[in-house]
Amino acid sequence: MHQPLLLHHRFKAIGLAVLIPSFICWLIWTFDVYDFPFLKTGRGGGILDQRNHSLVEELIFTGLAAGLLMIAFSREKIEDEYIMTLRLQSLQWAVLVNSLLLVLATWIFYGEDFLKVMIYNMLTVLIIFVIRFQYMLYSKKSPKRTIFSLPPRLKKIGLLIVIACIIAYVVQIFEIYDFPFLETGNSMESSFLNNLNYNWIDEILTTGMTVGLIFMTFAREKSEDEFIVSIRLRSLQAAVLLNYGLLFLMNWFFFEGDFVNILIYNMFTVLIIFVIWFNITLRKTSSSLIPE
Amino acid sequence: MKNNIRVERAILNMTQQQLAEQIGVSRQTINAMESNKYVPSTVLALKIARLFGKTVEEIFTLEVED
Repeated sequence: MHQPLLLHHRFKAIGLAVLIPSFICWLIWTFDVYDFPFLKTGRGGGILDQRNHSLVEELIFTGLAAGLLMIAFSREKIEDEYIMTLRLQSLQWAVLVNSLLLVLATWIFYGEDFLKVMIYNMLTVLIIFVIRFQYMLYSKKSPKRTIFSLPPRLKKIGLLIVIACIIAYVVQIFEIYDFPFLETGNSMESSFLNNLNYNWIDEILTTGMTVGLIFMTFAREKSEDEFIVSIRLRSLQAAVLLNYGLLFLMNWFFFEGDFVNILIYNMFTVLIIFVIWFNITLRKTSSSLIPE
Repeated sequence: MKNNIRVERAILNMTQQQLAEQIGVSRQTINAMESNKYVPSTVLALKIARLFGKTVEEIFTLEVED
C-alpha cells in the first residue's frame, strides 16, 4: 500500500515549539508592543504595514504555517488505516468548511477587512483541520464518520459555473464590460478587486468560483467505490501540501499588491489543484487497468 | 457489514486496548469497528481473524444494504 505523506510523530512537538513562539511574535507585532527593528530591510511596504517593510511578516507567516503543517501532518503514535481515514475525512471537512466560511466572509467584509480575511485564510484550513482531527480522534461520542459527497451530475454543472466565472472575470479585468447593473452606487465602500467603484461583481464571482469548485471537488464519480474514495482523499492531502509549498515560496517573493493577488488566487487554489490532481490520478489508474 | 469482534474479544477476555496492541492498531480503530463505524481493510480483517483463530466470514458478515 502506498504510504501517505506524513512526518515522524515527534514533529508534533517540534511543530508546537515553532508555532507558539511565532504566535507570540505575531501578537507582539500586531499590538505594536515591539516592532523588531533589526529585521527592517528598508525596502517597500509589506502586506500589512505599508510604510515600512521588514522581514517580520515573512518570518511570522513561515513560522505559523510551518508549525501548523508539522502538527497537522505528523503521524500519530499508532498511525493505522483507520486513523488515516479519520485524518483524510477531517481534511475534507476542513476544506469544505473553510470554503463556505470564505464565501460568507466575501459578503460581510470589505476593503481592508477583507484583506485581513484573506491573510487569515492562508492558515484557517490547517487550524480547522487540526481541531477537527483531534476532536474526531478523542471525542467520546464518536461522531458520524462519513465522506461528504454530492450527486455526480453536479460535476458538469460545477465546471460550467467555473468557466462562466472565469469568462466574467476576464471580461471585467480587460474592461470589455463592467456589469453596470451590479453597481451598488455606494462609492465609499471599496471592494477588494476594484477600489474605485463598488459593485457586487467580486462577491458574485468569488461565490460562483467557490461553489463551482466545491461541486467539482465533492461530486461523486459515476461509480464511486472505496478505491476512488481513497484516491480522492489522498489527492486532497496532496493539494493542501502543494498549496502550502507554493504559498511559502510566494510569501518570500511577492510584496504588497502582488501578494494581494496571490491571496486572491489562494482562495481557490486548494480546490483547483485538487480537481486537477484527482482527475489526473483517476485517469492514470483507469488507463493502467486495461485488461490483457 | 456486521462483525462480532466484541463477542470474540469477550471470549478471549481481552480489552480493546489489548486487542489493539496484539494486532498493531490503535484503540480507536477497534472501538470504531465494534460500533460498526469503520469497515476494516482486507489486511486488517485477516489479522483479526487469525488472532481469533477463525475464518474472516465467521467474524465479518455482509448485510442486505452492502
